[in-house]
Amino acid sequence: MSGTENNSEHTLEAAWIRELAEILHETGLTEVEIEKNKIRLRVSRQGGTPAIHAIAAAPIHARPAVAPVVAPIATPTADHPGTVKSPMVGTVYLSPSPDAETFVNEGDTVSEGQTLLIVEAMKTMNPITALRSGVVKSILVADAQPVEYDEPLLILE
Amino acid sequence: MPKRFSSVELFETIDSTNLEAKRRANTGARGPLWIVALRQTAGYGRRGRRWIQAEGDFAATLLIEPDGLIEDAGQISFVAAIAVAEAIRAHIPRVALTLKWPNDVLLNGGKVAGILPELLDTPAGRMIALGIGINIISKPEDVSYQSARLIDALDGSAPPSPMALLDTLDDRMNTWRKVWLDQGFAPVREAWLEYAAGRGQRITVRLPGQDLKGVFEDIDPSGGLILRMGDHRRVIAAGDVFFTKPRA
Repeated sequence: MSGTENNSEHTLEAAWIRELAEILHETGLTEVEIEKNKIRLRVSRQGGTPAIHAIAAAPIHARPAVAPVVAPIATPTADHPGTVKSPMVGTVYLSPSPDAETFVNEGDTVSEGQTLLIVEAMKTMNPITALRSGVVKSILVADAQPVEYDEPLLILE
Repeated sequence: MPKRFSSVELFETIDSTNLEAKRRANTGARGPLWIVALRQTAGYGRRGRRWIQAEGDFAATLLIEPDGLIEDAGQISFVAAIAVAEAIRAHIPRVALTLKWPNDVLLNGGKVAGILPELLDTPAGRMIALGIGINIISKPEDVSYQSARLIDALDGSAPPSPMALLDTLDDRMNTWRKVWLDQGFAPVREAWLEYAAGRGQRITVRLPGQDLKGVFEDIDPSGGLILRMGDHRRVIAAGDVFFTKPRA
């Protein structure tokens, strides 16, 4: 890779970070992510200050058993603003235990902070909660299904 | 009295230390805080399975703020497993301890400690409730796996008390969290592999709806289990590991 390309990439990244940070401020969102030219950039707000997360797409692609990560992002489902995505590679569960009722069903009205699903990675249970209130339009995964990083799980409207 | 890095709250009886940690996190506690219980009336493990212990066993939850990126949060399993193994070793030096991917602590091949990390979404941000149960004087009998207890590894001498284990565990957790935070997962992975059970052996990994058989080759740089099946490898992020039974 030539120095010029490197520089222009850095400029591009800096511009993205500024732009994403501004979007966070303007919209009051807690997290914004963008993927372009094999670079994935996520800016999230922690304790009021935007923080920058993963940058290059390459290490993300090197993650465990990652089937095509990018493909789902291009689908209309993933473009839906209410799409809830998996923050990690793991197994998704629709209920707190195998015999229990599901956390939510399609058509349910949910409130902010309510648990929608759980993603388990390396025995760590990660509840996926609603960032805002809304109605569960569709559940895109089956119980105990393996999920990839960023895979769409559910649509909230 | 050794210096503790975390606050400690001791309960004589509680429903579950993880449940109490969740309640505390939701009302503003930021940790590091140990919730310790002499008795749990509704102790639970992974996927809501019951966790049964007697008075004299160790049951506690460490409430902490997450150390790294959310996608790497599962690595706390390895950090905690090493800390538990080292804490036990500090009290019973030559004990035969191994770790089963990712966070079961085995004594002579039987499960002696269970670890259940749960991420919490609280109004003030993400937290982790790290539940840890260690069988000191009792072990569950009617379970599908081989279980173990520390007292069987002692030649008649007194086992460590839960509070004595807590002091050592607090120190070891603090040390390994710092290693993870300062140097990343690589040294954690190395330390975990030193204790790894079944590496190089044929194992079965139970995934939802299917069992995969292969050789447990390694763990990858993010903690995934590398299973070699014939001429290809698969990296597993979630699943139950079973060691193939030796032939009689």
